[in-house]
Amino acid sequence: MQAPVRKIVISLNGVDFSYNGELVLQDVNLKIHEREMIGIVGPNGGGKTTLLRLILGLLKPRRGQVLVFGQPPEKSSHRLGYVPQHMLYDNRFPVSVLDVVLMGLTGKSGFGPFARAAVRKAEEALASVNLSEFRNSAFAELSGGQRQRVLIARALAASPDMLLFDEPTANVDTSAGEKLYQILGQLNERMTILVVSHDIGFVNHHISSVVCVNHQVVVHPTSSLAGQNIIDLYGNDISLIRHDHRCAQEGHQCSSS
Amino acid sequence: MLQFLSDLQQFRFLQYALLTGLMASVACGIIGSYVTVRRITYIAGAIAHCTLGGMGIAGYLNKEQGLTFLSPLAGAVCAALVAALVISYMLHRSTMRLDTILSAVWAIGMAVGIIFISKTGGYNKDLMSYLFGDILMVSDQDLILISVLDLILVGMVFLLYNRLVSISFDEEFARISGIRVDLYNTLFLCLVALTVVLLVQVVGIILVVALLALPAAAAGQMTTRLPAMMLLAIFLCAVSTTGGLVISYGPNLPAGATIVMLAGFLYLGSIFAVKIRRQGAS
Repeated sequence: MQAPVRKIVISLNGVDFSYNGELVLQDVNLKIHEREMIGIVGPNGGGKTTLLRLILGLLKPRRGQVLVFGQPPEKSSHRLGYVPQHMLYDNRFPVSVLDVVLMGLTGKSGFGPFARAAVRKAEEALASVNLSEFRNSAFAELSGGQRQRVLIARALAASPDMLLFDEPTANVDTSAGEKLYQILGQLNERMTILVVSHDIGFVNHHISSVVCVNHQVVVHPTSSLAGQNIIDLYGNDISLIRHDHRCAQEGHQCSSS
Repeated sequence: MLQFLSDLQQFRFLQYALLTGLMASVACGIIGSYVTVRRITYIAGAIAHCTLGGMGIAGYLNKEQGLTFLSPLAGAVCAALVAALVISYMLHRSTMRLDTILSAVWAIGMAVGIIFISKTGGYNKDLMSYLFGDILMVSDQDLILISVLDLILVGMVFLLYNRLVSISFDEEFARISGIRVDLYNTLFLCLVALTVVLLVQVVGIILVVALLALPAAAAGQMTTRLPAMMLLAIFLCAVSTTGGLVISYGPNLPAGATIVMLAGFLYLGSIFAVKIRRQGAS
């Protein structure tokens, strides 16, 4: 399915992480290649978000090594675009949609008001999630799915090489969720995408392989679905995670199985 | 009202009071809006109460030790900045609960102030004027310091606006996008401290939180972007301080309390205005 020369963009070697003395992740070995779309699934408390935060450099491993683009995470965090879970911020915060997108560029901008080039970049990012007409709307007045797209635009504004999502569809309905994944599918043509998902049975069909996190990490392939009752339940845009099938660290090698 | 206007032309203390109120409103609207959307009014409260320590020590050194260059206002600036740095350090470096830290700063600052004020000779009406404000007693020197503080605040916010908004909205994202969150949070608390000092001059320690929160909360009801919220909050704060001065002057009411009452009415008014507008729209 893919050429073997693809670069490794994330690698974890023998990583342990513990929180308040409790081991959350144990001996994690993982390699993710350029322009893959990876789903990170697992039960609550299994360590999905911890894994994401280790990659983002917000947490340091107790043992082992995390490399992002061949460097320690804190050195490459400017190349990562992060889209947080949509419950974590104040929904009544007084900002416009464009204000939120511009926040993606704040760390790279100088002091004082934004330069015109930054505004133009933010507008382009907004256009890529099809929300240009909401430029001046209040962020608080958008629907859940639209807000999530604004946060994608915020992450895209700084032209990242990788996108990381924490539960992108947790608070949106199925059709808005599919719209989000369509956008992710397009973005996947030019960047690597990691998606944390709360569902351990099924993931969106755009996702090529799945990293299962439950204190330890196992890579599984996905396969398409047949059962009509499951399609009725989840819609037909999903793939089954084959927990029975175990991949090598490079999960993509068997994703076509 | 007429009495106020004719006296305003005549008496310098009244002109100074009016100017102090207007200048404090600028800081109050800008920083109050940040404080409100970040929900940290009680950090401002702790810093405000801690200024009593600084004013007490400065007053003592001034009157008892002959250090006449040390005004209570200068003492308040020092105490507020120390409080901001302590709170910020504890927040970032210790695992203590925020409200424990705030209670400690709040109470210890006041205790230090009370001890030094009790050991300072002369009239002990200082304590009351610190606690409830004495906008009619602002001196030339105070006015200069107040304008300098105002300039620093406006300049800093102009430079740091984008970073502060990004941190206020989503601290974790700000950190990932390369903003030095801890540094700017510390700097921001220092700006809050300076604002608090300005407002202590107007309404006194105990009522600072009201003046910081109420105009910003009223403005927040009626606006959808932070800059608009700040401008409206500045306007409402200026209306409160000027209106409070005018209303309190004739019947000789305490100015600080009258200003806060007016700010409270404006806040209630904004709630009703928004409610009526919503009903009209639906």
